[in-house]
Amino acid sequence: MYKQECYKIFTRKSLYFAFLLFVLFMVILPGGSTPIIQTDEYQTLYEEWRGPLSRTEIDLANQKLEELQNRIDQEMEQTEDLEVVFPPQSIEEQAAFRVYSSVASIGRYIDSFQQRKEDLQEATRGSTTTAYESEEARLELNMLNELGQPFGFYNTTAWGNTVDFINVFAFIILTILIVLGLSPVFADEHSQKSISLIRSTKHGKRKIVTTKILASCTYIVSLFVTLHIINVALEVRKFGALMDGTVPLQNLFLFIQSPFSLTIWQYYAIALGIQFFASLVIGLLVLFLSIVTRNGMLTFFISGAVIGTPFLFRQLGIDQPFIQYVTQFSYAELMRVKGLFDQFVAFPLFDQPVLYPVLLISTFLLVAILTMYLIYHQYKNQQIMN
Amino acid sequence: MRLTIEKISKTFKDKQAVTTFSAELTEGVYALLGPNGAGKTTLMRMLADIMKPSSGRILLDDKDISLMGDHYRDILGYLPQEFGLYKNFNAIRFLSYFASLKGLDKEKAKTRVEEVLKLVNLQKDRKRKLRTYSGGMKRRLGIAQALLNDPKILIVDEPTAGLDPQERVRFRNLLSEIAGDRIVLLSTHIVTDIEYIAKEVLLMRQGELIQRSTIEKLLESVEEKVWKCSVEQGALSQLQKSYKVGNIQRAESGIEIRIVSDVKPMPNALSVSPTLEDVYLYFFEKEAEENV
Amino acid sequence: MKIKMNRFNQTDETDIDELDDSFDEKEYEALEQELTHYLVKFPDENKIDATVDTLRQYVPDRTTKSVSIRERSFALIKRAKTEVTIVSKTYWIASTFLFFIGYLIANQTNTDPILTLIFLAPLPFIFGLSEVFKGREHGLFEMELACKFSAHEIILSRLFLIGIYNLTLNTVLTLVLSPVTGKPLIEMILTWFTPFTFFVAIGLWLSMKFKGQIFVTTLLSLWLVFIVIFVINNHWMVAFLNIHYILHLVFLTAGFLLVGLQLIQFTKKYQTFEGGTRVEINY
Ligand SMILES: Nc1ncnc2c1ncn2[C@@H]1O[C@H](COP(=O)(O)OP(=O)(O)OP(=O)(O)O)[C@@H](O)[C@H]1O
Ligand SMILES: [Mg+2]
Repeated sequence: MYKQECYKIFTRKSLYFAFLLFVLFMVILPGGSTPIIQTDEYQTLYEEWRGPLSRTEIDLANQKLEELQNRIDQEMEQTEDLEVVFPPQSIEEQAAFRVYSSVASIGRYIDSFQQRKEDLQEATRGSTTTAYESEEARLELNMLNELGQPFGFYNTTAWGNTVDFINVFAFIILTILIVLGLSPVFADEHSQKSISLIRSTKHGKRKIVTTKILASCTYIVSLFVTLHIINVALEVRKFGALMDGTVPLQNLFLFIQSPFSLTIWQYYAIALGIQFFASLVIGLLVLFLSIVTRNGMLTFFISGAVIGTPFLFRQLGIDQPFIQYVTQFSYAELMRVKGLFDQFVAFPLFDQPVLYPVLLISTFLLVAILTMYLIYHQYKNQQIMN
Repeated sequence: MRLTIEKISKTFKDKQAVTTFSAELTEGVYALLGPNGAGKTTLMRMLADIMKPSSGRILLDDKDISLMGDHYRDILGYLPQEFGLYKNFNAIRFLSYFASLKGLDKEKAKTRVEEVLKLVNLQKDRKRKLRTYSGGMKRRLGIAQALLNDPKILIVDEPTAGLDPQERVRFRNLLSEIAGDRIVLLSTHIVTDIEYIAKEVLLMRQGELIQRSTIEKLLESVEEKVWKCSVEQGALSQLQKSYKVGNIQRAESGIEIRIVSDVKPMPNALSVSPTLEDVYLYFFEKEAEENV
Repeated sequence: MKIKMNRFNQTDETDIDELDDSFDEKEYEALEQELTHYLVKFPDENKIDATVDTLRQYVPDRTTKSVSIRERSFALIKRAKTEVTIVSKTYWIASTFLFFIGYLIANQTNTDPILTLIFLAPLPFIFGLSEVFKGREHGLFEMELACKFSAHEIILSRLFLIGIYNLTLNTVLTLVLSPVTGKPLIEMILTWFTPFTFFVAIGLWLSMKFKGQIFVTTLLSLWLVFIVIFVINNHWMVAFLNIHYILHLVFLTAGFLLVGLQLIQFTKKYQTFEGGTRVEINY
């Protein structure tokens, strides 16, 4: 029975068609490192500066950057050619400019990191804050203290792209293909008029549901694994290798604010796990809708709306407090993963601050269990009218 | 009017569905009889010009129907074996739509829709949504659809499947009424349907026309070949192996069976007068025998 | 020998020598002998005449045909009027509503109106395609084929209807939004029209391959991903929005050609019923 259910899903040509096109989009997408990074000049400078940065190093970089800036300004005045925004410089200068400015901005991150700690310290003392707020500040401060000083000068573009893939393309492509692939699972039995045959059999009311869910999971697993393997392969092809995965997560531009003490590859593993969980939850939602609506297209639209609307709100910048709650606890946020980790967010639960990712994941565990129950319940009690 | 079928064949990827089929049809009711998968539907689709023959051609009064295009479809009524309906239409709306597809003008369509609804006895339900129709009602609506344009050539594929006996009689009478000046081709598995109305019967097997004659002639051909005898339970399976056994009926004195055979199957067998069912057995059970 | 020379007269000497070796002289003679046994008799006059007569009906009649094509198109357009009632009300309402939302989004929020326009442009058409193939999806295809207005004509007239409706909606939205963008009208129209034509072509192609519900959802997904990628890659978008007129026209022409090609395919495909040749279609 399981095999046949898989067969129904995996023989749909339209899925392969869509998947291949998406992969094609991924391949033709521009990207890769800027040419300057590949030059020897940059590489030698990079080797020199790579690693955690001390105060003196940062000051030195700032100083050198200033010198460079001055020289460029002078040259600009001399040429008086307004057309040229970046005057022609030697590769050496370009590389140096890049390295020093990166180091300088890291210096600023370190400063603001320290500032943030001090502010939190203030907040924990509780002179101007409520009890809960100081509790929250204490939690954040503890996390930051555990983190130590995470920043350093590393080239993390390759990892950055790989991780970014999760919250942009993997999010969209996975969601769409799951919705596309699973909306007909129950609905098609109606449109093919085989539902009455199935339901009148011995296993037609419970076991069939289990097998259908299992087959759907198989589909999600294969989709998920294939997509991420393809992505990693593409990144490796673009950048050569994934370097510096063992440095703290905060060295990725998107996660500068993150309070979590994780290395990059640890985060990647966790993010993959969460996204996989999210895929399963979305899969269950689609299956449920497929039973209720009895129509593949309707399922597609409704699940699209359920998943997409909060995302749309965010993109359009609609942020009333209530809408914000809806957005934060939406399927899309879970699927994108990034929002769980890129900054400190906590919610009060019985007057204790609970971290957003913990809350979100437990919420969706409950949702998943509930959906599962509803799927069985709904299917068992459904009548066939036509 | 003369519909000539000239050696048409239809080959699907892995299957020869119709093999060099030739026939000439004039006004009257023709019945197409054959076991499942004999190629009846395929043949009718080609006659309705919705499927192209792999080879051969079909002529109406010496004109190739595939060239006649909508002139042919204008005089054609076709009921497919399986079809769907727009579920949220009612009967009137559905038929009006098809009337417009068949090129009837509005005024004429209105009266004609009422007429065909009456012909298939659906006036009472004409305002109900089609999703609430029963299986037989849907079939009757399909028949109504085929009759809309008062077709000169009517091709109906298993029109009586799912109809109750009363409606079957009504349909039979309808066909004999209108068959005077048109060609009607129907396929069926219910042999009694054609007993009174078919001018000729075409027997089809594995895509070939194996016999074509009137019902009387067919009955004649199995005259003296149908036997009735009563046997013991134990002897039954042996008999079934060596003879074409029709009806089996449990009686007090054992089992009464009907056998179609060229020779007298057993001494106590009585010759009885044949029915079309026996004809069917005679021609098509052979296949099963040969295959063994 | 001569035959061989003729056949290979393009190749140079050495090649021919080589080939000569591989052919057996005797085999040839045997073949020649055998062939002389077959005599082709000249058919008698009557037979030729009969053949010509039967074939005559297959010769296309050029003058009448071109006229009938024009008449046909008129008939199709007229037919579209009847089809209005067949296309479900939900479709008309939903598409209009969608454009209304689009107007609100473009007007109220800080999204680029042109982008909204590009995004919305083909949506009514995509939804509409499922209405176009209603007959096919509901299992009426066989019956429609046997009608005077055959299935492909029904499909074409519905396509016409949907297309006109879609274009109307787009134009209205363009007109309404043009004060917001401050761009010349013609440029705005070109901007959505070019991707629109391409997308219509792809949509038509897909609709022949997959059954209704599936191709609508697949098409929609493709469109969505395409737009997202477009938005993410800002410089692609900028490049596209600043394309030169001429290039636009070239692309537009290409788009039209593609659509035309698909339409021809359509008429060919839906003239006969070949069960099982279409993918993922079941009643
Ligand atoms: N689309 C198709 N592709 C391949 N084979 C087909 C197709 N349609 C029909 N066939 C085959 O052609 C043969 C004839 O089919 P057809 O439907 O004409 O039989 P039929 O006489 O109408 O049977 P029934 O009494 O069951 O309706 C069958 O063996 C069938 O398997
Ligand atoms: Mg059949």
